[in-house]
Order: sequence, then structure tokens, then C-alpha cells
Amino acid sequence: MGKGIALTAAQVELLIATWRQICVEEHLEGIYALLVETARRLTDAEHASIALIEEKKLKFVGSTRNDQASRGAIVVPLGAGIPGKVAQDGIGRRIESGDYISPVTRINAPPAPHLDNSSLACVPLKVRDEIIGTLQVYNRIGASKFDESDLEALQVLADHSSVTVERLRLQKNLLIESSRVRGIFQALTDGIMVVDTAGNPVLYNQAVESLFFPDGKQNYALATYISNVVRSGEASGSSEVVLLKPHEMILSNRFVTLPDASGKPAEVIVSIRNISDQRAIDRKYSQFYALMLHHHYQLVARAWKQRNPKKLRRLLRMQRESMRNLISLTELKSGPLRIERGNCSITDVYTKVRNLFDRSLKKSGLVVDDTGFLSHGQIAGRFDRGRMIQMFKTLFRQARRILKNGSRIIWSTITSAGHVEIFVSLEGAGVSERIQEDILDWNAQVDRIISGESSTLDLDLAFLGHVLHAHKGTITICRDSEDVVSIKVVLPLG
Amino acid sequence: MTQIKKYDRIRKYAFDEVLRLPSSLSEISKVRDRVGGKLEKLGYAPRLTMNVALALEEAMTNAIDHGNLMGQPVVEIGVTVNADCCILQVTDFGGITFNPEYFEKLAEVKEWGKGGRGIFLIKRLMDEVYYFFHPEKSTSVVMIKYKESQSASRAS
Repeated sequence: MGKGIALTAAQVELLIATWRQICVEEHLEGIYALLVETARRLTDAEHASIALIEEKKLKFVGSTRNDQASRGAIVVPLGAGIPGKVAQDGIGRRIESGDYISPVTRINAPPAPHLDNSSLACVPLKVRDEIIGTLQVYNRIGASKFDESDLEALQVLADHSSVTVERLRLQKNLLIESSRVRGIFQALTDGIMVVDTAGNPVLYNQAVESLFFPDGKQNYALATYISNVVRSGEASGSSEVVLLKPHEMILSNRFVTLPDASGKPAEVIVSIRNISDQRAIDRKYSQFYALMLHHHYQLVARAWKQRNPKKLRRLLRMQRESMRNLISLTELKSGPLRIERGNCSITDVYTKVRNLFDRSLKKSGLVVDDTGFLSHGQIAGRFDRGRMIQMFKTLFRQARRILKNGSRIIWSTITSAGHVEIFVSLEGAGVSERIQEDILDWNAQVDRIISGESSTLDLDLAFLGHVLHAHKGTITICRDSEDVVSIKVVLPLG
Repeated sequence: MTQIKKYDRIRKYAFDEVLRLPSSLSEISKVRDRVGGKLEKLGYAPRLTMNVALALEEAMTNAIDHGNLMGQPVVEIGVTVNADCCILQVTDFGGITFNPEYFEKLAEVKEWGKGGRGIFLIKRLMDEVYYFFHPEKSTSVVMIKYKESQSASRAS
């Protein structure tokens, strides 16, 4: 209009009516429908459509064609086709009588073989010089082509409606984004809570509810904690809260104070994570380590005072075992147990360890029957040789510890489907009583010490469990009868 | 939302009284007597008052011992006593973090030499016990005893 474009009275009336309708339309789809219909009527076109730029592509979002919905959303790259070119450089274009004359090069493009539209006019939708999409009309009714005045009338419509389109599109995106953020907020396993400067909850997610009402009872500790955070007046910080009684929970928290426009603290955002389980593991480990260290000191003190050489040797042997356990524990605490696999013959390792224990086993009056093991021939695989030696030593040591004179240790093995199964059967009077059911669970042993049920730890098999686990193997202990206990070790050969 | 606001009824965001005292063991008896007097006035049972006083002594001893390791000049005691409950908060400014559960459990082990007895006692004497750790800044222990406490006789 600034260029002196003369609109007909009917066109002006149509545009004014359209703008009035745009002002009251709340839905983006309604605006699209309104715009394409107005564009069609404004230029006496057969059809009209609107396309918007989304992620560097032009997406056709509205059309006067009834079959548009069934055809699905059309998306073209920027620069492809007339609307793609308009969306790229913002210059309106036309096709006249099937021939496209480029406003950039002013030459005829080669005719398209199956062009449905004999004429087309396309203008950009712009918001503050930024192209947001295009508005186009197809096939003028009763005439072969759109002229310059059609293009400019269409541009008037586009210029006056593009801001509304963009505003509603942003609003729609904002609602989608807001809904997504709210979903994330609710789905967070960490509790997120916003409180005002008086400590009153403004907003919180579901995780907070479970922290505030564990087992349906109100957690006053959290309220007390929030009040502490608010009272501190700090801009940000972190803390750990141990709800020692009655909730027995450990919470890790971070908080940030948000200022209002004048810079005064307005809200405090607190994130709360329940770390009870992790801390329980750490605590257990610490207790365990402290207990073992305590026992170790006691052994050293007793050995230091001992004058009887036989008793001294016994104490030093116990001290050596205790030290070995402490080292294993330290090794486990430093991360997953590392193993160095290599080609290793289980049979050779067994024979070597068997020879080492031969004398002491005979001295203890224990009979070893390993024909079921050695008759199998060589069993080789990829194992950590040092750990395998540790495994056989542990099993022999355990057998020697719990079996009495005249008892039998029976070794046998089976190989199947890439695995080797090693069976150790300990047969002796009352052997079941001397091996705890939960010997593989060191935490249970610590619990028994704390509760005063037991005063000693027997950790060798528990540590062996970790060694086998590192090899992706397993160990199980079965009390077959009062006089028979069997230990089964399964190891992958590969 | 409304559910959470219920705690407003008996919990306040600020203590009735906040005492900042020199970090010295000699201050303990003054605070203990002051709190004990308040409890008596409000009609708390003598045995319950004794339990609170004992827990306060233990908490203050720990706070002074730990805080003094880092050279703190003061300890802070927050006191709220009303007809429903007594809320005490003892804060030291040593900022040393520790796991109270660990020490409490160790204190249960027979013939164990040292450590954790204060925490062990506080947990048994009070109805609610919370620790707030602000690493390298402060450590607070919040202890709550209800006037109609069921655990008064058991704890003593």
C-alpha cells in the first residue's frame, strides 16, 4: 500500500473483516484456516496455502484444499520450489500461464513436465525482516494468471497477519515446552522444592511428597531443614541431612536463592536427594573396616605380649590372615576387582596348591580324594592365574579349618558349554555346624558382631566370591546334611 | 500443597531464642539450667526434663569439642519450647562432616574403646534427631522432645 497499491473496496472490506476475526481467534489452526480462505478470496484463486519455516525447512501447515489432511504435512527444503525460494530470500514470486519468470534472474525456467498449477502467486510472511514462512495462492479462477496487484494484495494480508501467526506459534511452542519441563520436573527422582522467604512451599514435585511424608507420616525434619536454609540467607549452598530418628534417612541437598527485580531474596529452590542406600553401603564398609582394624590391633597387642612360642606362632598366623583380609577389603574398595586373564590350566594350578597343602593336610589327618578332578585331564581357560591359586588355597584352608581328624575332602569337576564346574565336598562329623549359612555375606557377619551374636569374622569365602564374580563365575555353598557340606564353583572357560 | 503446610502449626521457621556462646565447656551448665527452667515452667515431667538436659549436654560437648578443633570462637544454641514440644538446635562452626549412624552403631559394639556414645545417648533420649552438615561451614544437631513423649520412661 505504501507503493500506492489500489485495493478494491471489496478487498479492503474483506481484509478488515479478516483482521477483526484474527484479533479474537485463539487457536493457531483457526488463524491458518482464516488466512488461507482470505487469501483465496482476495485473489480469486482456486486454492491457497500457508507454510511456516521450522528447523530450516518449510512446512505447509494450512490449506483450503479439503484433501490436505489426508495428504499429510508437506515439508520442503528452503530453496526448493517457488515457496522454498520465497522463504529463502523473501522476494514474492509468480507463475504466469505455466511459465515461471524468476524475479532474480528474469529468465524463464524450463517448463515443468506435469505442472498442476497453471498460475501461482507466493509472498513471504515476515516479522521484523525475519522470514517466518510463505502464503501462496494457486490458479486464478476465470483468468490465466495472477498479476502484480494480486501479489501485492496478498502481501498486505501477509504483512498484517504474520505477527499474529508468530505470536500464537511461539505461545503454542511455549505451552509444549512448559508441559515438557513440568513433566521432567515431576519425573525427577530428586525432590525439587521452591519455597518463599518465609519458608512456605510454593512449588514441589512428587519426589518431595515422598520425602515429606515417608510411610504416610510427616517428616518434620525436612521442614526444619528448609527453615534452616531460609534462615541462613545464603545465595547458594549444599548440605547433607541425616534424619537419624525416626526416619533413618540421609538426604543430600543443594539450594539456590533467587532474587526479585529489586535484588532482594524472593524464593529459594532446594533440590533434595535421598542418598540413604548409598550411605548405608559406605557406612557398612566403614564399620566393617573399623572392626577388622580393631581386631587386627588386638591380635598385634596379644602377640606382642605372648611369650609362649607355640601360641605366638598361632597369633602371628591369625594376624597374617587378618592382614590378608584387610588388603582384600582395601582392594575391593578401590573399585571393581581387577583381574589379569591369561591362558591358564586349572589342573596345573590345583596340583601345585595341592602339593603345597599336602603335608599340613596329612598332619591334620584329612583325606583328599581328587580322582574325580584329575581324571578329567587338563582343563584350561582364560583365568587370572594368581587369583586361581588364591581360590584353591582358600578352599584348602577352609577345609583344614573346619574339618576334624579323619574327615574327607572330595574334589570333582564337570565341563559343559564353555563352563567348568568344580565341586568340593567336605565330609566330616558335624561339619555343617562349623560353616555359617551366610558365610558369603560379609555384611551379615558384621551385623552379627554388632549384635553380639558372634565375635569372629570368617571372610575368606566372601572374598573368594568377589574373585569369582570378577571372572563372571559364581560360588554356592550347600549344607547337604549334618556331616556333608558341598561347595560349588562355576567358572567360564573363555 | 495444603498438606505440607500442616507443619506450620507447631514448627516455626525461627527459634524463640538463639544463644551465641563462647565455645567453652563451662557454658554448658548455664544453657542446661536455662532450658530446664523453661521446661519446668511449662509443666514438662521431671524425668523428661532430665532427658532433654542430658541430651543437650552431650550435644554441646560434641559441638564444643569438634568446633574447637577448627578454632571456632562460639557455638550457637537455638531454643524453642512450647506446650507441645521442645526443639533444640546446637550448631558448631567446625564444619567437620561425619556419619552419625556409623558412630552410633560403633558405640553399640561391646568393648569398643571410644566414640559415638554422645550420639547413641541423644538418639535414645530424644524423640527426633537430625544432623545438618554444611561442609567446612557448620554442623547442626536438631533434637526434639514432645511433652507427651512415650519414650520418657524407656529412655531413662
